[in-house]
Amino acid sequence: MTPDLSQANPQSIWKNQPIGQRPMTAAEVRERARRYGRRKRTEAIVGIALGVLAVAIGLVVELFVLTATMPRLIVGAAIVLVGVAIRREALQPGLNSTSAACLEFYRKALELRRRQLAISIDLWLGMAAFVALLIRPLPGIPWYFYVMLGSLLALLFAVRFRGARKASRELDAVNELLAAD
Amino acid sequence: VRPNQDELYEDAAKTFGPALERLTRAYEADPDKRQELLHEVHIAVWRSFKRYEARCSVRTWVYRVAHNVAASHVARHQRARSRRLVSLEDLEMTDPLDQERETGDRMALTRLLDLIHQLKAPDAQVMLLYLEDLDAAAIGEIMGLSPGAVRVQIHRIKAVLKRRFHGEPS
Repeated sequence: MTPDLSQANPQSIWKNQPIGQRPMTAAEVRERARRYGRRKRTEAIVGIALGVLAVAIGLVVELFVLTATMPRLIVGAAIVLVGVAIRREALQPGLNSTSAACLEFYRKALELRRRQLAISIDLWLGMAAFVALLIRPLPGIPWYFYVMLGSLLALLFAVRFRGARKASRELDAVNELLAAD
Repeated sequence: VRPNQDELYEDAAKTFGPALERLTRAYEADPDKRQELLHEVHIAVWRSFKRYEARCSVRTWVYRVAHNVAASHVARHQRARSRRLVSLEDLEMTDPLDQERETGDRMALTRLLDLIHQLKAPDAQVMLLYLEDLDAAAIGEIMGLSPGAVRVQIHRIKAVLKRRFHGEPS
């Protein structure tokens, strides 16, 4: 049977959907806010501490334990990835309770994202230099390793560049909307 | 005497609680994450009332805070979402004829949510405020747009909804 939605009123459908929550009291929300803040702080501290520890152990292994080229490369790559994860954890924004107009808030978030993507390109360049410094004295690195490293970096740059351009385009659209207003 | 943070929050939670729950349903499809988002919205609204100076209505304040929290949540979890976000223009271009016909309020609601989940934040926000039955002036104050610009958006939203629900050309 073909359903008939011709009488459907989106506004009444929207407002009449079943709601399950009872309103929270101020005491409940205060307690939740306290627990939420504590959980987020703990997660951030544990994440960053574990990451720093992993990098430290990795560096010790890299510089003083391993001698063969391939294991050193693998550990070096792992250190870079953990470094990126620590940075991401450290940059994680907290709960924002701003009452700015929504479009202005969205514009600022896009601007921040565009800037962060542009900065992350510099970060990856720095990481690549770090890897190059670590592996330079190692013997027996095949030529295709550099090709693979170059390709990986090119791919990462392309993804970030695309993201930055997408954010830029969206930003232009929002600015246009605000300017036309 | 101005009401304090707790009083403002409790009044707002009573008045706008259902709207906030509907709002989180529109921003987050996963039930567990939605519950977490709803708590984040309530915490943010409660915290924000510390700074409330009655320069705008409580309704505008609550909707602004809630939409901003929800938009941040979407941005944070965007990588986990498989669906590509589109603008109202893209939806205006799509052909509704090839869509499966569904029936009942539940199906209509599913369709409505599906539509909202596809939209980019500003378009979704205007649509949600329209569905909450706010007028153009109120939506404009929340969004930071003039009522005229909001009316244009609403006109386009209505056209999209008409095509989705009634299969009429825009």
